[in-house]
Amino acid sequence: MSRRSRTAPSDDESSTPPTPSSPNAMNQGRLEVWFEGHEDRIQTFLIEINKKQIIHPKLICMSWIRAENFGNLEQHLKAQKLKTFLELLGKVYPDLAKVFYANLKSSNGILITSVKGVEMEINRQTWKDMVGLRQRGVQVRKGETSAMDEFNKVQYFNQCV
Amino acid sequence: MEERLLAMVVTKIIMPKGSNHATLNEGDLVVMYYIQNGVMVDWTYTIHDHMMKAKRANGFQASICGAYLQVH
Repeated sequence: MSRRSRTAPSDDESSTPPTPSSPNAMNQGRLEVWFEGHEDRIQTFLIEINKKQIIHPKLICMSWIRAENFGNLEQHLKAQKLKTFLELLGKVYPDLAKVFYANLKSSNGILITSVKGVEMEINRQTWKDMVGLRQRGVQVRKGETSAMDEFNKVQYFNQCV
Repeated sequence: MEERLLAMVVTKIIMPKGSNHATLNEGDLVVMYYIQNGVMVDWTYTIHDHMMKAKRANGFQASICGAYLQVH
């Protein structure tokens, strides 16, 4: 991740010159704004989250799948209500995405986080309103394929390739 | 051909991984199987689970929240 160049005016910084030894001074006070001055969260961010990389978001257009003649794939994805989710396009701020993940908590199927003091709650209704994903369906958990009698992962994989 | 594109959609967009996108794990295969056979999957559960994994595990990287942040 490349560090942004300093854009803020240096009026208040000239009175109190930052000491380069402390991590807060190296970040020029940005972390305080992102985390609203919660020191414990800042430490968690610096230790755990900051070294991770945010990958580039990817999307796929249904019209392209139709134009390239990929069989029933378009119908399958539309039946799962994934059309809006897969075509989502917009601005992404990688630094703030890290803040989002540093504050992320899960309770009773609801994701709670806060970025720059804005509290966010992602529940099922949010997903439905934003991208049209429905609540109903099978919950896919790891290691539950033994309950599916008709599914053999090796056989299915060989069938795919 | 259709299955390969479906595998790319699942491993790159819905449940992006840290390193090797071409490797399918068990969860990916189950999701692909359900999509192909028209069984409705609870995507909110799957995506929530994946986001929490992305926070915990070192190898994981995620971009799902970017999609959410831009809406607000």
